[in-house]
Amino acid sequence: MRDEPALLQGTLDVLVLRALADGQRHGYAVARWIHEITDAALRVEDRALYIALHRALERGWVSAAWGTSENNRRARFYTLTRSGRKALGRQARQWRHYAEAMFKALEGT
Amino acid sequence: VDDREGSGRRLDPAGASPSVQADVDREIQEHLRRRTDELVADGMDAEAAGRQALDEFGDLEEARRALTAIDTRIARRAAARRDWKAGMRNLTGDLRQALRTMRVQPWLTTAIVMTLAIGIGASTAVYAVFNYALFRPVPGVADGDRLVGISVRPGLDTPAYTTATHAHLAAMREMPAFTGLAGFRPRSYPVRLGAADPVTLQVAGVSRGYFDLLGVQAAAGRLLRDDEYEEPGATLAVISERLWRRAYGADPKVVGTQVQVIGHPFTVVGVTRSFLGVERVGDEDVWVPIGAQTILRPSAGTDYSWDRMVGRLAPDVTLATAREQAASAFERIGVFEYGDRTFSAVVSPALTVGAARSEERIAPLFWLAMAGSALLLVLACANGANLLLSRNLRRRRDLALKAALGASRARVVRELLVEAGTVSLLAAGAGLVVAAVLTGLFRSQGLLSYLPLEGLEIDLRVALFAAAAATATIVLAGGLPSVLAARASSQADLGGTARATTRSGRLRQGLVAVQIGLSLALLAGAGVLAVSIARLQSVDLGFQSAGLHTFELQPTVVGRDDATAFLGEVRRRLQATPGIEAVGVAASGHLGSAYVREARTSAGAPSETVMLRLVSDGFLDAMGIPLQAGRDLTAVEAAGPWESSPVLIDELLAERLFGEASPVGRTVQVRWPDEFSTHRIIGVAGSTVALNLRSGHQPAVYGAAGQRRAATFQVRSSLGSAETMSAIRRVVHELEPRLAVDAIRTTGAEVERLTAQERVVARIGSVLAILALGLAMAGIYAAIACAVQERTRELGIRMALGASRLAVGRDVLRRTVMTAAIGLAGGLAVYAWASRYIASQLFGVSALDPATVSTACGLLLVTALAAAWLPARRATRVDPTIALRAE
Repeated sequence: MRDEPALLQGTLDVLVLRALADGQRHGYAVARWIHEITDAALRVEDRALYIALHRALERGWVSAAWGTSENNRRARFYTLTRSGRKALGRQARQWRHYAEAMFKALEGT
Repeated sequence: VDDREGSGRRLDPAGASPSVQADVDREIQEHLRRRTDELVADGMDAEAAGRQALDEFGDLEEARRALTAIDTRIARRAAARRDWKAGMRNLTGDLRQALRTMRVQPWLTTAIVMTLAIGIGASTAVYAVFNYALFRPVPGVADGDRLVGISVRPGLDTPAYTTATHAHLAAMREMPAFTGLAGFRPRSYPVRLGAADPVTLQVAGVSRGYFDLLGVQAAAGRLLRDDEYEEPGATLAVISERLWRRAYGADPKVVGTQVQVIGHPFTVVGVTRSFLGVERVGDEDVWVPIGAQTILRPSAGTDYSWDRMVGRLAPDVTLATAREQAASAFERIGVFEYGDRTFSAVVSPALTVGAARSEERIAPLFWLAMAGSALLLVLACANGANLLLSRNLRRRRDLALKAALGASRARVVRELLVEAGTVSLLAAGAGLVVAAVLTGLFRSQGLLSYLPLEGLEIDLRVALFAAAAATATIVLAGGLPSVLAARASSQADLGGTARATTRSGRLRQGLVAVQIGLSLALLAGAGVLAVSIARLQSVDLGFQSAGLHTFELQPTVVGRDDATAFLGEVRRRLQATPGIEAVGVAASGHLGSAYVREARTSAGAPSETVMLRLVSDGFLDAMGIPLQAGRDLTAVEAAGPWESSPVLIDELLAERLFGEASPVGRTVQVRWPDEFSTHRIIGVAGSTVALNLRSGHQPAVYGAAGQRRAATFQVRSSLGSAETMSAIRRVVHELEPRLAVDAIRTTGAEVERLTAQERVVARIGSVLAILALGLAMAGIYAAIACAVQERTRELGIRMALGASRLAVGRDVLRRTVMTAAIGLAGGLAVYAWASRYIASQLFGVSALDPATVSTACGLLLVTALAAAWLPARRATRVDPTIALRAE
């Protein structure tokens, strides 16, 4: 994956947004969710997830606020914004098309 | 969840702020700690767990840098947005405040807005006229700014122009600088539309591709096809939309019908949309293929030639490139036709010669009129400033309260400026309405008789001008009062009364003086212009203008070879018409045109410049020019050739050549065309005005015209103008129905035509002067009314102490007179300095004409007193007991 940064970046963007689709999460929770949901198949550094989160923040897809976590520690919570939800829908669709196309191509041979 | 991102955080815009950095570090640390804790909970030992957490996280330093950079950008943007929002909140607050204040004093606000609107509107309207005259686009063409005019000169270094031949056009067409090139040749021809009498119209013969090149569209039918333009004997015609509407009521059935050009039938194939030609824009109404020349000018055959050419520059080609290529094209074709002549091409950015000419005529007027409207604008600003000032003074306590509550002076100034800006904006809007009304007035009054103002409108350039004028009013009318009011507010005591401070009182007096001074300059300028027009129009013409009608006939355009006999017959029949007293014929019109030649007593003697008039017998009689000695030409003498003709000279020439001695019986030599010929003097005539009214009477020689191709008739009639004109038309059309006799002018109309330019300036001047007078009156009234109101307490005290009502009223009026006197003195100084610019437009009156200037002074003084009258009366009615209680 390290050899394909473009693919990785797009993948992380959509994954980060998807991680927040069910409600607000702090950075660590986002990282854990992604690891678990993909069965750790995407071997990606946590650093990259944080960068993707902050980039989403800059684009206005998510908002962030400091709060207190379940075990009473300070944590930065991220919430999907309305434009973030739209972006997620858009990117998920693109991914589905892409994946289907790849699938067809590979099945067809 | 607390502490929303980006709120209330201080940021160092140059780099990452400590807090952004700290947040990033904290987030990363929290992540690592949690991961470690989780791994430890899964049974890993603490040190290994910490290592793995770090390992999973990746390059820590790079992550810090990247995240900090992103968050710094976010924070900076949030801060900028916050600042902008705060600014907008302040502005909307100020605006709301401004509107509230306006509503509190609606009449004062209306007065200020109207005052400024008149200033902005009048200067915008004047600018619109000249914008139209100078920058008007050629109507009906596509991408007019890529079109250039091309003329041919019969030499390398000569100001003269000549026609472009087919060889010129062909050589130029090969140049890559142009995507296309076409020639045109407009001429005045009598054209008969349907069954009506022929009218004189500009008919242009055009070369191949003319309409396509210009991008002209058809409003009906079609334009010419490429193969039709240069085909000999083509009898197709395209007419203008203007002619189509005027003569055919925009009936599309005109296509396929015939018009007669000099009696030859031409088939109308279409109508151009808006297009009116390019040579002298607005002149042309009919276009025919140049091939029609074989019919209209049989002698020229298929030897096509054009007055001028028009070319479309290829994309990215500059005028300089086009000029180089034109020069080399002409070098390539070399010397031809007239043997030793080398031709040169002139590529001009102005599409029309007419535009350049009218620019020359209009430019001096432009600056004069702009100076006048600038004066009016400044006057309006002074007035507006005065009104704002008095309004701000009334609000002084309010402002002082604000200052006491901690508003900075900058804040108060800003608030007042926003207010002034709002007023100015309203004024700009109202000014555009005033401008539209004025331009409508100019249009309907035919302000520029030599330039139809049909297309006069407020375009982008004019709107920009109005915006600039409005900005000037914000600065001039709004700036000073705002700063002053703010300064006063920071000094004023809250409990104090609204006593007028002497300083702002003096300032307002000063503004009134400025208004009076500017009004004087405008009024005096307009006054001398009006006097000048009156003098010019009442110049002693030297002939009897009442009942005199002038028209021209050129029988050769309809191909008559018997021009002399024909013109003689027209004259005989006119003389036989009841009511027509006398008919004279000359080779040219008497006003505005003449052959300018030289005359002397003998070879070697000094020569005088004379107007040579080639006339029929009875010409002096018809014109009403007195015969002072000797006799007139006989019919036989007048029919002979000029070379052997006896002559009459006028009294001016007689005096210059012969002094006191009688010239009758002696000889005079007149040079024409290049040689002097000797003529016997048989009589002396009274002197007359010649080329224009300004140059006055000029020496003249009257001689026989002999054979002629064209003539100007002078008809003295006791009938009304309309009857005389229809009688003339009837006579001419009985003899020659193909000729147009549509330009019969009275001498009065001729004089008007010659004074057109002066009248434009005078009209604009008088409009500005009337507006200025009105503004000055309103301004004086407002200022003095305000001063009286503020001095109510003082007046009350004086009356309580025994001052008579009369004395109080007199005091108010005395102050007015003093202010007016100061203003008039200043105005005189300004006008004396500016008068040199107006002097060149004047005739028979000095720019500093004492009668006019003193009348203007008197008028302004009366205006000032009239404006002060009501407030003065109010001052005398002050009840001391009420006044003393009043603030």
